[in-house]
Amino acid sequence: MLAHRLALRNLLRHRRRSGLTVAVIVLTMALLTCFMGLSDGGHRAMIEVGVRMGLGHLIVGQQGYQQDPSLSRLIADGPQAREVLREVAGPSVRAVVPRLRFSAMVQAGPQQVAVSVSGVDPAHEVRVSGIADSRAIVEGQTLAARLQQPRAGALPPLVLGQRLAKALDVRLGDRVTLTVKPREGSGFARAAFELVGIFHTGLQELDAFWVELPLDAAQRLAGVGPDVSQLAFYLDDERELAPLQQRLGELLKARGWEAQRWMDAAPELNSAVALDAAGMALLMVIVIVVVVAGILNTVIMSALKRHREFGVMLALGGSPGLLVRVVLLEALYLAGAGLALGLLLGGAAHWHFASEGLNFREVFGTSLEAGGVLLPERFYSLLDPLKLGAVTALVLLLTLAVSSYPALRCGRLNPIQAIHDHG
Amino acid sequence: MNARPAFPHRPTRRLWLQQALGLAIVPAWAQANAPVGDAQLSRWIQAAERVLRGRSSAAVMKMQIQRSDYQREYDLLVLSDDRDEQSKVLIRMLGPALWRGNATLKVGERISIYDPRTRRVTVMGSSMLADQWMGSHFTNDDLMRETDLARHYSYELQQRVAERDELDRPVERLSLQLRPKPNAPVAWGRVQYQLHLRDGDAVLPLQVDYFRRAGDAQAQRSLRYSRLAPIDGRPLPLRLTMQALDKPGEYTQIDYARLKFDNDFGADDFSERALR
Repeated sequence: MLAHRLALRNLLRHRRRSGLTVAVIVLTMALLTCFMGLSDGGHRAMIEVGVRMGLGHLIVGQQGYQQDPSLSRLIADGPQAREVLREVAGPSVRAVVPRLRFSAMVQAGPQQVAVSVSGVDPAHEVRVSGIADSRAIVEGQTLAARLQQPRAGALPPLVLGQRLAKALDVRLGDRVTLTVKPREGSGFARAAFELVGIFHTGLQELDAFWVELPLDAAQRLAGVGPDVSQLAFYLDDERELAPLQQRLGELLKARGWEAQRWMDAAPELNSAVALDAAGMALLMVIVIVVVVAGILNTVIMSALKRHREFGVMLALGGSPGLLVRVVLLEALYLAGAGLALGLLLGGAAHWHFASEGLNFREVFGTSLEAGGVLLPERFYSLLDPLKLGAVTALVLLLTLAVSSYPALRCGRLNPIQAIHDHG
Repeated sequence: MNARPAFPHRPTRRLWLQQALGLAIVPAWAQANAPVGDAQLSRWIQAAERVLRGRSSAAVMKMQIQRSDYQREYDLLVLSDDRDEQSKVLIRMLGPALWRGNATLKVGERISIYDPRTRRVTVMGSSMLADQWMGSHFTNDDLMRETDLARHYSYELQQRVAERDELDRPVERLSLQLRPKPNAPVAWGRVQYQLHLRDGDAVLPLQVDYFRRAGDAQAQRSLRYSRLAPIDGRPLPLRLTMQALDKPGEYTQIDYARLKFDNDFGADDFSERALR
């Protein structure tokens, strides 16, 4: 009890010094908390965007499809395969969506561009895909919206990206054709479509080389019956991925299918997230070093300046252990107060960014791209309490460790020498 | 896609008879106001489109490409054979020396390309269709389906006026509007076809304008036929000019140097072996 009182009294006696140290710790800790939240929130947004832009968390295809994505490697009978997969997958899956992909030539008037075509089921897609989202559509409407109001005699609908629309010089309602090599035969198949929507995702390869149309129209054009290229799984929680893969393992093997995780389907995105996380970890190390160095500096300075005082204490019968405890407690109180206030401040900032979000365009004046994915303009802070707690505990532990050196030196002081030297 | 009947809308016998009689008896000026059936219009367009190909043809031509960033000139040998169900075209480059021996073969819907330097035959995939053929304003796609004007559009005769052609012969200039049939796999909103009709049945193409959208006033591409000269005793347009109207000053011009019809090609003349 005496040690605590002495430590607090010592700290309060040098308010300016203690206050400055606490302020440094508060500031760094608050910034650290805030950045940690924003960085994790940003990663989640990147993954979410990547997954929404047509990947899916887990993508099931015919064996060998990833190496050779051709029409000869399709999953036979899409609807039936989807039923089977859904049943085994369980309730953690938000959606399983069938897709048919092939390359084709899109033509409008004299302009022609080679593109990737994705045949989708708009009703399923609308809950998971970024392109099917009406917010991505800058002109016209989504496939799902169009199919809800069928018109007699109209061409099948099609949506494409903003850059592609510019390259083809097309407007809503225009007639465009797709030409593909169907699965059978050496000739070409061609069909006309009506452009009903133009989307903007910010992803170059989608905006410039991507065309989406209803699955049945795509299947008819490619002459593949009810077959699909892939069935994409969307999860509510990305952490469900590993268990899902395990559950599906047996079925996939039996059917000759294989599954690809989003990390493998979009390695650039995965490494962008990993790189950013590594940068954040480095920043944290620097911050911790700064905090600990600040505390060490304060403790050493105060210990050196008080050799005479300590000498008197020892001479009056104070034990060396008491001195050690007083010095250590001073450091702990400094660190504790600083960390608590810093966490409070950082928590407030986190709360703000978690509810309001951070608007990147406002802050940086431009949108950010990472791993080929355009980050959403506004994203939300996400804090992992475990991670934050670990960092806090680490700072406290390091403070104790670095303070023990000046503390132990104080304990070993010779009272007469100490009083004499610092007369 | 493979079936390409000679007459997609075969007129009924009575209609055919009427037309035969009509053509024989009624003078040209009297026909001007008579309604002309779709089948007849289709036949005229079909005839105009085939006028330089006949049932089979062999031609030597010079192709001149004028682009904003370069100019090129090729000498081509073009063989075509439409006597079978599957139409066949073989285009071989005769010059300049750098390109000599390059060949493009189309049998039915299959297009293959031969490059003598690598001695390899490539079968064209759908992505390559988008390329322009040897940098010209004709695309590989044009090459692939040059007669679908007669199949995928509905016709409307808009104008019929008497005038004189290049050789100062009295002809009728017919202006036809072609609109794509509801589900036709075509990428143009409207095609304006002008042709010359002489003596009621001899058809020569004059100009084809391709419009992007049905309502557009300005065409995007325009193909003009000119330079009438007798081939096998019959005057034919020996110059084709494809103008890219959205890029002023750019065009591709084809001049026929020699043209011979009704050659008896063997099946081997259009095999991939013949490419080499």
